Amino acid sequence: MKYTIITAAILSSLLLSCKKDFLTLTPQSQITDGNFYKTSNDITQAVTAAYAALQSSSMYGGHFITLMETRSDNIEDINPGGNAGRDYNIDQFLAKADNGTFREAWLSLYNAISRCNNILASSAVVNDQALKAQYEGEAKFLRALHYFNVVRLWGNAPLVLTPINASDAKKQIRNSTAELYAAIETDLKAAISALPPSFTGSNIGRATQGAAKALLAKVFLTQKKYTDAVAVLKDLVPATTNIYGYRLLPNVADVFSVSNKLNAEIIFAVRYNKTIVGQGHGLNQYFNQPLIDPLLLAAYNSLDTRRDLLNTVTVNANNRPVKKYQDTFDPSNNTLGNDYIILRYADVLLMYAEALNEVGYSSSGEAFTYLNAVRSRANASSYTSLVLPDQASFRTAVLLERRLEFPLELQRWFDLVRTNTAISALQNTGLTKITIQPFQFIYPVPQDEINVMNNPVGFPQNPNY
Amino acid sequence: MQLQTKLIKWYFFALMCCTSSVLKSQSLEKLNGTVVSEKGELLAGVSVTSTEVGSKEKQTITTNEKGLFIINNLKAGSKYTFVFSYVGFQDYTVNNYVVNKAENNSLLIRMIQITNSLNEVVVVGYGSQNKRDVSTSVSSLKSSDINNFPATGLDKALTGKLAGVQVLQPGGAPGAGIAILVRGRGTITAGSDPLYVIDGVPLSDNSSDGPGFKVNPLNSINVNDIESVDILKDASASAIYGSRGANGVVIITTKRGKKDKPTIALNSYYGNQEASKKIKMMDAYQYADLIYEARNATYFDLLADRGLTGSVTDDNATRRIKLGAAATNNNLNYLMPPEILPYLNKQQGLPNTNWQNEIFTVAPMQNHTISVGGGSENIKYYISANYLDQKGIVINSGYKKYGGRINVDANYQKLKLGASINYNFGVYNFLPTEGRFNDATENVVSGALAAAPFFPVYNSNGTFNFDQAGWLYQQANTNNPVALAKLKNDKTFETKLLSNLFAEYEIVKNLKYKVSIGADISSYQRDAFRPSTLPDFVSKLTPSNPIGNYRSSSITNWVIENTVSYNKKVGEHSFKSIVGFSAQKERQDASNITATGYPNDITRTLNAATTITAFSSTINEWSLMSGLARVQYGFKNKYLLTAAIRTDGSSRFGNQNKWGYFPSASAAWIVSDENFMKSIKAISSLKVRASYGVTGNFQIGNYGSYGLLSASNYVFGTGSGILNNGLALSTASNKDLGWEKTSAVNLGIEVSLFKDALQATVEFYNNNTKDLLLNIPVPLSTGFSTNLVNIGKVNNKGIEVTLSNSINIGAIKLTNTANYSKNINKVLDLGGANSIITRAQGVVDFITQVGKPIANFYTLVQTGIFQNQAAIVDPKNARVPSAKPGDFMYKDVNGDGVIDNTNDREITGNYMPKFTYGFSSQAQYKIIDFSVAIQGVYGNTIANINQRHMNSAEGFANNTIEVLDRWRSETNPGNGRVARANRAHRGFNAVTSTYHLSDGSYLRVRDITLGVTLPSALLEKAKITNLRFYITAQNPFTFTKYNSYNPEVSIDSNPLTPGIDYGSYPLARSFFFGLNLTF
Repeated sequence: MKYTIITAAILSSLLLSCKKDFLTLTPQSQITDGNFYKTSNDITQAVTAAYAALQSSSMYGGHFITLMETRSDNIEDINPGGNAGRDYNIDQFLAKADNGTFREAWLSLYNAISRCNNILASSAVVNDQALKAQYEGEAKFLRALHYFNVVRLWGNAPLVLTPINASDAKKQIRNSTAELYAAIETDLKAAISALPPSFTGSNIGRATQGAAKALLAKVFLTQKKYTDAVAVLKDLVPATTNIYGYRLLPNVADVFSVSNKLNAEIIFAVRYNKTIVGQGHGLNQYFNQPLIDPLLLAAYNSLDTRRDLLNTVTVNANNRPVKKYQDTFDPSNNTLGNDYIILRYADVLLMYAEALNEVGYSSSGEAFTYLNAVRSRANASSYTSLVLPDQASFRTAVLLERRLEFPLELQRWFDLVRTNTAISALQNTGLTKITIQPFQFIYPVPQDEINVMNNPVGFPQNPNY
Repeated sequence: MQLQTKLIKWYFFALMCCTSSVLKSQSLEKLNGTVVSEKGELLAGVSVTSTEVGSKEKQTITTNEKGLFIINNLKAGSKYTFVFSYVGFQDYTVNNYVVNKAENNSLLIRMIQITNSLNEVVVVGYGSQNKRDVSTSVSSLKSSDINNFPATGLDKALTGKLAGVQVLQPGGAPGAGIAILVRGRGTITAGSDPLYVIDGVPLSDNSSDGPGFKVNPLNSINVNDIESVDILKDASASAIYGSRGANGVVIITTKRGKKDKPTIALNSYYGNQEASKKIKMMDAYQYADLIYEARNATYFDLLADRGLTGSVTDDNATRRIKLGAAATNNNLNYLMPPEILPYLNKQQGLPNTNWQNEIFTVAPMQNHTISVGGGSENIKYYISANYLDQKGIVINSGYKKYGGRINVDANYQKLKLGASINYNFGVYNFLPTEGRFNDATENVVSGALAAAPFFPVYNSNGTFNFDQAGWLYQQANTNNPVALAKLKNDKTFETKLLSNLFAEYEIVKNLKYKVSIGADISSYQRDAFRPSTLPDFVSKLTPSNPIGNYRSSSITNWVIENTVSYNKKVGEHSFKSIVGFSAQKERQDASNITATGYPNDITRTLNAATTITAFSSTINEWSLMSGLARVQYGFKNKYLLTAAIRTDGSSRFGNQNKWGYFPSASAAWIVSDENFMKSIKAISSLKVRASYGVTGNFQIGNYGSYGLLSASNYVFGTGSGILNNGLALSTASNKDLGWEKTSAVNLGIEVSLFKDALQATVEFYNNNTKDLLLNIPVPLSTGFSTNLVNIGKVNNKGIEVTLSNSINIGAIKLTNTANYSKNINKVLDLGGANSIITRAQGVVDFITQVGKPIANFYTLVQTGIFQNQAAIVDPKNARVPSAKPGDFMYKDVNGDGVIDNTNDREITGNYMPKFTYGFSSQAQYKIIDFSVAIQGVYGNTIANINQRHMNSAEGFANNTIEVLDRWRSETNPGNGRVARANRAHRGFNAVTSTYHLSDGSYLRVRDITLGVTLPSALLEKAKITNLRFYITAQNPFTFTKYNSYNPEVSIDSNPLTPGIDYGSYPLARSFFFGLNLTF
């Protein structure tokens, strides 16, 4: 009996000597969600990563060019064999739901959204209240930008505003575009009040109040909420006197110059630095000798300074980009470093002109002022009410002006869709003429997502795909 | 003692009675007796049959638990024959016994145990049992099965010997890693290695690639030290190891000293190894012809694209002009490299290097073990020392090992203490041999296959020739493989300590407490240097900037186990029970530094470098806490039941699911002990058993339940901005991550026929693995495409047959063993997805699909070759984009008339064999012994994707002689398999298809051994107990259709992508001379 007691004592002491957390081992050489999002510094890094998502080759660093520019009447993909025909099929309106570009773009967008959601879910650890507000504002701006792209690319889509796991995600449905736009507006309004008008020094390049306003204006315009758009844009337009300091550069080529990054015309851009490993980009193939619609090139008058930006320059034997995206390769990283501009002041002016015209045509109104400001900067002749005598002709002129001002800037496809001119534009190109149907204004939801969700009622494929 | 004296008294008493017997009138008497074993153990359940001589009257009774029997109604004065039979013992017959009238008829019977039968002791995990009592599926090997021929490692000794145990040697490099599969693969994402338990210490599960290449986890065990290997195959057997039992458990028990005078044993062998196969490559003249044809084909294809014409005699300048290339551009695939021109003219006396002959060598190997075992009543010891030196069959590779073991057992009253300490120091001379020939690892074997025979190994001044490294004309830039092997140094030092200490105390009779502390400590230091004398990676020029790499890894794994066992016999009931608690933890520290900028090649350590180009330092840990309990119950020694449960908690799983429970139960019935079986003389023993159990698999990453973050940086600030560090989740977390569970049913029959002349074991099993640890597609709206979750089901069912016989034909003793196993693997559920397609090595696809086995090859199906333009445009043939006559035709799987490499793939084979088999035979004739062992695999498929270069007819790298039979024209179509020569292939010739797949079936004679044991009369004077000499041939013959080195190859360890050959180390064929000497 004595021994039994001794044994029991030994056994129990061994049991007790094991600490309770014997089975709880956290990684010591890897950062995990078990030890991250715990400090203010963690959130700083999480916010940086939220911006980094923009560089993804499935977003602005690649697929967006296919989805937002190649799709339009501006440029054409002539390589049916390249990349399994993925880009070609999107350009030619042949792409099906199994096209990998849709899946990658969808995944990247939701990954970028999840980065924002993680920040917002844990921003409470930031003690500095001003910094906390700024981080929340940045996360909301970025999340709104991503959802704005999601809703324009696919229409109805799951609205995820908090970190979710797989089983929660499986219960998601495709929320309506109205719900998505409501969320986008809420986020942008919050961002506007949280973000400063500008940043200085090492913080330049972060989303600002002005960026949030410009994006909100575009969101309103896309929804045809012209009065709301005018109200937001009003703060941005007064040239030289707007508090954000935005203005048109006298020479349009300077806007894109790699030695003139984040100039006064840039409101928000995806940033690159080719001298740092991982921070440069390869020259996207569509900006490398793109096949540009000859009708677009012909639409410029001979003196228009924007026409020259579409000429190619030789960087080396294999790379001849358009001048707009001209840069030299960094010798050690073999990358380029142009920023990809998402919002710039010329866009604000043309949006304002468009919104004013939609609210009510005025033969001597401000709308002409801002439309002509963009034109005259490029040496194009000014429009008068004689040339644009009514709302419809002004509307057509603004759309054309946007085409001339923003080729290869990922504006054209969405402009065509929101102005309901995509069908006619694609029938009247100088390249392959394509007859498209309204269902093709949005893309098919990636087939993998449809398969995984397996919910034809709550999560259906877009019609006709 | 007392018992023995009593027995002896009875024995003499009985004898006296016999001799003084007197015939009297017939009255009925009885006979008393006792049956004991040679060791004096009382044998219960022995059947005793008495027959009166000249009559047919029979009666049969059995002994009671004290070994006693009483036969009544015997006629006094009559003669009787008594036959005693008992499972595991030779029948004992007493003839012409005369029954006395007095009451003192008595017999003491000593029965002799039959070896190699049910009475062997089988280790079952946390204890051992007589084979007779085992109710689960366990395969065993004894030291005699292992030690009589040279085996560099346990894996070699196991190969082909046990049904249901597949030992794969994917690489032939000395000391290289192995894979053991017990009953197929039940898992998809998690590891499929069995658990190794050495002297009670469960080994670390991830020590196999400490130095950055796969090493054999069993290297630390010296085969000569092994007493037995027991493999727990069914879930009921392995469930006692709970969460780690799903892939089977390999239990290794080492030799311990016996109470005896010291026994000194010396086991030595020495021999040579050579490559068992060389691939027949083209010589320089054949290769030059291929290049010529291939480049002209490309030239004409390009001309045709532009509507031009040309001639084979066009010189390079003409070719450039016609196709609009710059006059200075020599890096074009339609020009003729000037190097080949003299060969085309059949000029003799030019370099014609056979690179395989240059890198392969006849390599010596030796192994010596000396051991001393012995002891007294209270202390027993076994000490051994071992030296192994295996040079590789590829020049400058090898493995050397120095090892020692001390096993000690001590008894003091009720206390037993024991220790096993095994120390090993190993040195690997590593050479990369696997993978693409021109990747950054600079593989020597695939490099030698690819290298052009036009270039000599050495220049005339004795330096290495590196002309091919910088060869233009878009030819393969292979680095001189001999220089790679000789100039680089890559040494890994390995130290391994495996130790176990235990103490056992008998608290009261039959109740024992045991504590055991084990440690498995290994460390690796690997030092590699690429000198300036090898060409630079980019410029292909020498001197290059030297590159040094140093990595170290140390793994400490400790386990502590406490068990209490209680064994009891009550009447015909016997109980064995055990309860226990164990905790185990492992920590791995690893660092890896790569540096460059050495001033010269003299100082090769990192201190001489000026620039660190990459570095890492990591810590990894896991822990496991467990409780276990088991009861074994036997009734009348013929109805046997076992029930066990184990619970494991692991750090690797999510907080919600850390703990798992693993119950099991089994039953066995020794049918032959039933009375109704006694009359069937042909069956000497028959046992049937059935088991059910649940086991687990925890072989996933250490922190799988956490979401990992990766760097995701961005630039802010004026100008181009400055770097800001960012971090974002790169994998999703799963707090619910838990065990992968296998529930398995096993039915077994063991039968021994014709007085044990033939023994057969047949097993059927059905294993269902559920909650697979699977990276499944999740809604992309989570921000991730996959997540590691427990979902999905896989089924493995199969049959295993082992037959053995031992017969004596005159003076020849013959023992044969044959085994056969068949496993059918089927995926039942993939968590909603129908299939997972996995691409490996960038070129070969696998599909894992519901209703099919795991990891089928998923490729195009080559159906032939387009013989002419008419065949290409024939609508009956599916169109192959850009194909020309001489290019491959394919099966139009989706029937759309056009071949594309996504939608026209189908299942084209699997690496898992349809069945495996083994056969071994031993013959002993007086002093001569002879043995042969054969193993085979049938019905598996291997993707030899090295053929993408070697059999491509592109002429980029050297091709095999099979390509001599290539398509040249409709009238000269070759063997109908190989496409036309073309440097820039058209169509899909280079896309992985059935052209690149091969049947991997093989039959290999693993070893043939002939031994001579010197007669003991001769040895006694020298006080030698035993002396045997032998010669062995290992892997002397392999019969296979497989067209590369080794049909066991599999370069990926991912269970979803098995069976790829991308250049591998050939298996060695070896001849050894050895001796076993015992004093």
